[in-house]
Amino acid sequence: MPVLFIPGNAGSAHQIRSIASSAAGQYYVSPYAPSPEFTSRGVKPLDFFAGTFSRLCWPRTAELPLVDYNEDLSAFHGPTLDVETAYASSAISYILSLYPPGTSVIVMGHSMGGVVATSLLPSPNISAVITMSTPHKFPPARFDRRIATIYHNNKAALATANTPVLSLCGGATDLMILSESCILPKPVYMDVYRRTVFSSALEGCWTGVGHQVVVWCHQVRWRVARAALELGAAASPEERGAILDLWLRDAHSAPPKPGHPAPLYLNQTSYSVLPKGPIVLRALRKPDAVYLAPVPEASLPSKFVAYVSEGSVLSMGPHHVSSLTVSFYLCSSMNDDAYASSPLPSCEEWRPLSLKLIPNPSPEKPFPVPDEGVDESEGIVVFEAALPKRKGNEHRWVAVSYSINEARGWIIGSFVENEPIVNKHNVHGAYSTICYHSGSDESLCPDLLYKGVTVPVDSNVLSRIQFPSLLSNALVVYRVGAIYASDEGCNGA
Amino acid sequence: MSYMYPSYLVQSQFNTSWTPLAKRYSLLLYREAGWEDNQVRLAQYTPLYPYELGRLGVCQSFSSRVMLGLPTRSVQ
Repeated sequence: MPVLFIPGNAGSAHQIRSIASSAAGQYYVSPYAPSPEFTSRGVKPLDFFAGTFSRLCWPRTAELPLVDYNEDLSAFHGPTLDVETAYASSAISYILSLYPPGTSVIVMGHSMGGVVATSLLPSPNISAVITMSTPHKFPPARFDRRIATIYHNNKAALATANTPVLSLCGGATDLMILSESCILPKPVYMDVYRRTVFSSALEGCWTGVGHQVVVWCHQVRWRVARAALELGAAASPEERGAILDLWLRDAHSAPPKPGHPAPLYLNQTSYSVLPKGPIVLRALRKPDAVYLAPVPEASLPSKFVAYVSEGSVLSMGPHHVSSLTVSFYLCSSMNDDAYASSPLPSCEEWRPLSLKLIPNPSPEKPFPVPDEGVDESEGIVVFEAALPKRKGNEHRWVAVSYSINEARGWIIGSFVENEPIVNKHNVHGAYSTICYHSGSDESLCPDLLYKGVTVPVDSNVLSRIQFPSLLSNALVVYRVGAIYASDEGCNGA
Repeated sequence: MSYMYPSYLVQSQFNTSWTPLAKRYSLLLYREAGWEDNQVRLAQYTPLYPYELGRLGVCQSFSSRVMLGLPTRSVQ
């Protein structure tokens, strides 16, 4: 499967090496030996092509490396972008001439290279476009009219082109482009795949990424490489969209569609009933087990939330996951005794409202660990499901079913209210600009910007905090610290 | 920690018969040296520096880095 990489303003074709190397590292278990994980499914290796928008300088002696110099400054010059687009378009024709008919190219673009990649659309020869730190919405510098025309045409192409497009953005850490400009416009007229994923919400990355760093940050590059590998085996734009959603998952996206989980049939000896209160399952040892936790109907809970460490729920989990797999079911019976034999509670699979992976930072260390970042085995699955209304006088239980081969991981869960904690602090203030100067009256400065605010939360397993007075059109960068009122409940954790 | 063994094969067949811009720009094919066969998937290449490890790509244009306010000593 061919991939074409288009570097950005003053970028280098060699910037593809981190992603390309990761793709090779994932595809081959040892030199020249492809991994059965891919070959068994017919997934082909990737050929990464990269355009050098510069003059190649042939070395005078064999010891010197080949360099490209005078890289195009595409961000400042519309006609240069046009020339790069023409070159990339011819490159695609050349690349496809090397492959069997029907092959298509995945196009990746970094920064302004993403603008060039978008300019190639619509094209039946492009199977997917992945852009990294690309200013899609408006150019970083407007020095000529031509660049405005290119952006206008790209907007039209993004609204209608059938090719899936994913924009990866570094957020506030990217100091080169405005974060807002990285967001793809939502398609209005047609149902075409467009996704914007900020690296701070990218599951398994969970941090902002600098403008250049996005091409070599390990947590990003291996996912981009993996998505590209998997794209090769997909037949339709819908399948390609699903692959991009799976491997470059934004924590805000809907839970992946579950397959067909095995139904849960209880028999009297196969389960244990937990006491009322939060579910805490630690030191999981049995190869598999089912626990029933009674729903506290008196407190009218609206949701059930569970955290699973070192395991997966509905195939969602860290990339390097242990053998722990957990399923949640909602069981009901007219009999209040869960052990009563006639009838036994009947259990149904519970579709989550949201299912996401969150980081589990170590309290002693900064997060992400400097120079290392997040490991592929890190992450805790959060399962959140709505509790439907009680029918008559039925009695209900949550069934937690797990299977595991080794002793590791834990599961905690609890019923929660849906009500968010509302905090009316804002960042406005008549004198907010004066706060930058020393000697200003601090009482007039908005706390949220200058001092921070303390939000008391209950001892729930999940609390939602809303700041309705913040500007809804601004990106918010925040830092959260936990203040514990007492050490109760943490003993033995 | 991960290692990479970059090599770049210049696509010299992508010449001015395809586009006059081939005079100005070039197309490279990445290969992980020692891990992937250069010959398997495509026909003919002009091999270039297959074992020049890690040295390529660190030479960014001095002037362009200055213009963008980047450190002039590449840290890639």
